[in-house]
Amino acid sequence: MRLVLKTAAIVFAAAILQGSWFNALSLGYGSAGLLLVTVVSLALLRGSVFGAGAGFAAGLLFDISTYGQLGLTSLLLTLAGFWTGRYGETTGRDRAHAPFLSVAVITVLYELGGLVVRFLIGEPAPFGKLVLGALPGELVLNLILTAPVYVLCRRAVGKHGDELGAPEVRVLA
Amino acid sequence: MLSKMGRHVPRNRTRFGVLGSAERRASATSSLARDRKTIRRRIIVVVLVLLSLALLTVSFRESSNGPLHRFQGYGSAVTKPFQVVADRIAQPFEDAYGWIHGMLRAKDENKKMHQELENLRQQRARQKNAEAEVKRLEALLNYEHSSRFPEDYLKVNAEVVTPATGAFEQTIVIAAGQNRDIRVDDPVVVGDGLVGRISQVGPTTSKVTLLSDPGFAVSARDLRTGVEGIVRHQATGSALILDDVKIEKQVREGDSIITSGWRRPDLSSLYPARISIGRISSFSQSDVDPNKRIQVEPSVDLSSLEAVVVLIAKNRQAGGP
Repeated sequence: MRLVLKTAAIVFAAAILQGSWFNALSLGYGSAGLLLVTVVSLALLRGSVFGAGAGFAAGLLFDISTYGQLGLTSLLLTLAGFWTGRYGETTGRDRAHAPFLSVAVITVLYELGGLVVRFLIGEPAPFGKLVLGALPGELVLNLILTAPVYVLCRRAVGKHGDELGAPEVRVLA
Repeated sequence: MLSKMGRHVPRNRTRFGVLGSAERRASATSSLARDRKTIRRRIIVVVLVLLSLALLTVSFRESSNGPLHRFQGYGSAVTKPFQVVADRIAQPFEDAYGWIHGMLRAKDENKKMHQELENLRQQRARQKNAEAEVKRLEALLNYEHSSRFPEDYLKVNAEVVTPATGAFEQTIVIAAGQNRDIRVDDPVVVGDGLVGRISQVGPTTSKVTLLSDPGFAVSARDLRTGVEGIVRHQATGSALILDDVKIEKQVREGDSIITSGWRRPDLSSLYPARISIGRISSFSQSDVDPNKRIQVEPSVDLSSLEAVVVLIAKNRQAGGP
């Protein structure tokens, strides 16, 4: 329960900061994605289900606070959280580069996914402007945010399995 | 095919076939738990995705007064105070970022502004030129409709193609020639006064010898006193003089000099009467010279002509000389 409350507080703060300040923190056409980096960090630390839940909540909160298209950010962040969580549970486990790799890949997929969904619902979806103008700047800013956000999230919610102590080893031979 | 495979695969083979019975039971339990966990995980994700899609679809399709939009409005109102607080807290950082960002962009911005300034200057210069041209054309138009315009003449408006550039020969080229019935010696004027006369005519262009050309001369008179003389280029220097005025005749500085336009039964001046030539800028006299030395300042700025009027005698149009 405590973990859920802590996560809720982190997600709430990230959504508020994203809507108020980080949207204006831009490089080229791209703006920093604090919310995305937070969801990716939480998913890496706590797993896929946790990541998907955090992503859904974060997206919903963000769309509500900014009058965005309700459900759009939730959908993208749910999938982002789930896939990052799966990566953290499997091949990305205990790898130092996992947060950076995850943020880089998820940033690209998140933007492309957003573009596809916007295109499908008939909203403007300028592919060239996104790929050439926004994505490079966004990628750089998100990677800069990755280390501090990951460390903060790890301090706040810990890592899945940390509370169990040393892993149990069973010899099956 | 299946029967062949069956021969090679033992009937009692399981995933835990290599383990003993105790380990087999533990592994089977663990596997079952893992399967349940996987299923639970998938169900949660699918539910969340479906929920997101439902939200997206419903909010997209409903009107702006729909329940989801209203909910969004209330939610936004709730989060707004937090946003305001976050804004206030982040303001110093935002300012710092803006300052650094501004500094980085300042160079580019400066370059862009300089370019913009240059464009605006050029635009202003073009606009001023256009305004000046409008004024000149208005002056021409006013001249054509004024009482000063000679009655026995028709006008041909012509653009100046080549301005006066020669140091020795003061001529311009205008965009009208035989096609507009222009002939040699036709007078050329603008609203302010006499410009010169046609000295050469081509099919579509003509050369105009200006008032300031050394070979130019025109009979003129003082508008105030009626004293007559000849305006020509001074032998030395660049000023115009009113020549052949006896020393006993009265003139003064500032007097207007106009064309005399004399007429005799067998001969007449090339220029119509009462066209302004200039003003007397200075005069002097001596005992050894029977004539006054009168300098005339032309009323037309001959260095910046853009359009002129060629005067064509009406009697020529009617089959005259």
